[in-house]
Amino acid sequence: MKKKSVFAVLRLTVLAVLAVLFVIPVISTALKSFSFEGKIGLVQYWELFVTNFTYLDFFWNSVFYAAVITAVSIAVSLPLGFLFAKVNFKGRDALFFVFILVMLLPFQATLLPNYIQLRDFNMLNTPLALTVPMMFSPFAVFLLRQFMKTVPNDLIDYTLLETSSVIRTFRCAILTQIKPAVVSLAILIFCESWNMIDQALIFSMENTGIYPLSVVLGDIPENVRYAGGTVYMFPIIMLFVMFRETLEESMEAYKL
Amino acid sequence: MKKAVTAASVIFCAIIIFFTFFGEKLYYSTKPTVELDRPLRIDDMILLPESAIFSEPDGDYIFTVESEEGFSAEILTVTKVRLTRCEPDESGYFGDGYVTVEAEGYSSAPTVVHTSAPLKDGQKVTEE
Repeated sequence: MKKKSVFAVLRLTVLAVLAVLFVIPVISTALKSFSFEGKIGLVQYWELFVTNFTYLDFFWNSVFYAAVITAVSIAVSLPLGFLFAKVNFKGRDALFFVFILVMLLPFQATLLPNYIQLRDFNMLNTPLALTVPMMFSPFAVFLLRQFMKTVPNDLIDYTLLETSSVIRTFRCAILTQIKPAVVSLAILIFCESWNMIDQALIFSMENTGIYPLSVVLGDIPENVRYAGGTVYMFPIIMLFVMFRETLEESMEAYKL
Repeated sequence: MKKAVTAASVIFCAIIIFFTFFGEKLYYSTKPTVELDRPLRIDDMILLPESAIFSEPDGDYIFTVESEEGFSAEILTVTKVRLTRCEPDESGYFGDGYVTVEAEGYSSAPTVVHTSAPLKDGQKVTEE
């Protein structure tokens, strides 16, 4: 009993130390954003939004990319996940194996084929170059397949008998069941797109105006860097806090 | 907690949208607008229009401008330069309204010849 409580205290201490380590940079960035040349106030934000007014153009670039990638990725992955989870056809497992294989490949491995394809389609240096390659996420398909596998087949059959429509069955029997999973996945994809750097630097070398905020964050003047960092972090923290319960719910439900 | 975050999010979005539309306008409207010119040189004489000379009880001075490439726009900063000599130009090359000036280290830096508001040393300005 005593050994168990000692272990619990030790575990709590380690977790607390790790939590503090993760939180310190965020808190210190936010706190330092309220000081400018030794004075406390909102001057750094004023300087960021007024003197460096194009900062917000890059912010909106990021919002656009992250929103489009998330929406399209979910829209594409839902039917694909359903296909791999519930539809029986020849070669399904082999095809799914290819999906897993693609998912395991690092970004750098698919960089050159992606670049060549984008060049051939005349998409380089356009917003499409920064969104299209990320819209088709094998990870999202894999995750949704895993979620959809937990939906009982009987429920799908019953709904199909009731509605006689595949789309309505999908909406009523599948979507309602995996709603927390879709929200969680949307947050994960949004965060990944929000933080993209490599794609932007490589696929848009000649058009720096379409860069997302994550790329130009290092170029903003030093005296407004903390305010810039805080504004950059805020949407992600906001999303996490607002959907924390859904995120935890889905992680618990699907043993992630 | 959730309500506080929702309120913070709404404020955040409002601020972002406001500055997206008005940030650039505020940048140009909150700074004095100046007209710049380089001084004219004849032999050893440096000539400036009279409007470039600002007077104080302890003497005359001019404002030179240093420019640096900013993140969004060219940032112009004025520097107050005390004149050691300031006399009306009698050479007649450029007519009336010119003065010959001398100041330590001043030779050809862009100089403020007109300003929309009183200037201070180190102030940021925008060019007309």
